[in-house]
Amino acid sequence: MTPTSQSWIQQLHGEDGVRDIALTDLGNLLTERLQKAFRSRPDLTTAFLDDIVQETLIKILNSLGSFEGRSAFETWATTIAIHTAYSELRKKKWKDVSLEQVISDGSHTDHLSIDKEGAPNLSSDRRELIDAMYQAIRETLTEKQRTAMMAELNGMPLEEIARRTDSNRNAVYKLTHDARMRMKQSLEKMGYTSEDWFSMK
Amino acid sequence: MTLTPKQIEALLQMLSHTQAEELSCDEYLDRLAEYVETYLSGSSLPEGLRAIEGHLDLCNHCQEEFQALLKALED
Ligand SMILES: [Zn+2]
Repeated sequence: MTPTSQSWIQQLHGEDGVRDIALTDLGNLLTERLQKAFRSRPDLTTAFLDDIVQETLIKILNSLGSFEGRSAFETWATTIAIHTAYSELRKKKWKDVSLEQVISDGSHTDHLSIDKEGAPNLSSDRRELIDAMYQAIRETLTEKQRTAMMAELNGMPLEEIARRTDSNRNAVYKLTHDARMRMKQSLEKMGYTSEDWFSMK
Repeated sequence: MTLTPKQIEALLQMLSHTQAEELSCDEYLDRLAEYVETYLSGSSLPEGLRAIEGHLDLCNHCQEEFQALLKALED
């Protein structure tokens, strides 16, 4: 661990007075870095960034033990601040969208849906590939996997899928990873390898 | 269930990057600080950090956060 990182840790573990000064310094540093990261987002208010910094400082105090010194302390703290900011932004963005909506939105409202007759431009190879994909989805995925995969495909962050399914981000990740693996293996078993996928237009 | 052409393309992209062993977003985040310092220093990646790149290829949300992190760490 670098001397600077060590000194941060010591001060944040220190007595109230010492700790408060370190928290103020760290808060200022993180504010500056968040402002740089979000320069292209003038819609984000100072109050929003202040809240993110406060939330980040609490997380950092609660997880000081997990900092192993594999990077500078400031870098580690910055990754937490950025992730906290994005989690909050995504929570806001998806606030009014249900899982059902996100799953159906992408499919039934789009007039370009590929039903077999409606897509005259597709080669027969491509059509067969798409049929195989549907078959893989039908036959190898559980309902839960299908839901999570479709929500992810339509852009919903895993954290937000987790929020709506009483789960956590890691469990949803495992669900979608398993779904992708099953689909990939199923397609390969039907004779479609990933090299073919993008050549069949 | 019907997939749009865009979704089919996105799904195939996802599947082509899918591997039995990959990092979850949480595992990625645990190693991110170390990775970004190596990335910014321009030195070559140790074996243990290669999987990070795989995750960034696959996960749009972590990619978005990574781009913001790079801006945050600019001099
Ligand atoms: Zn991710």
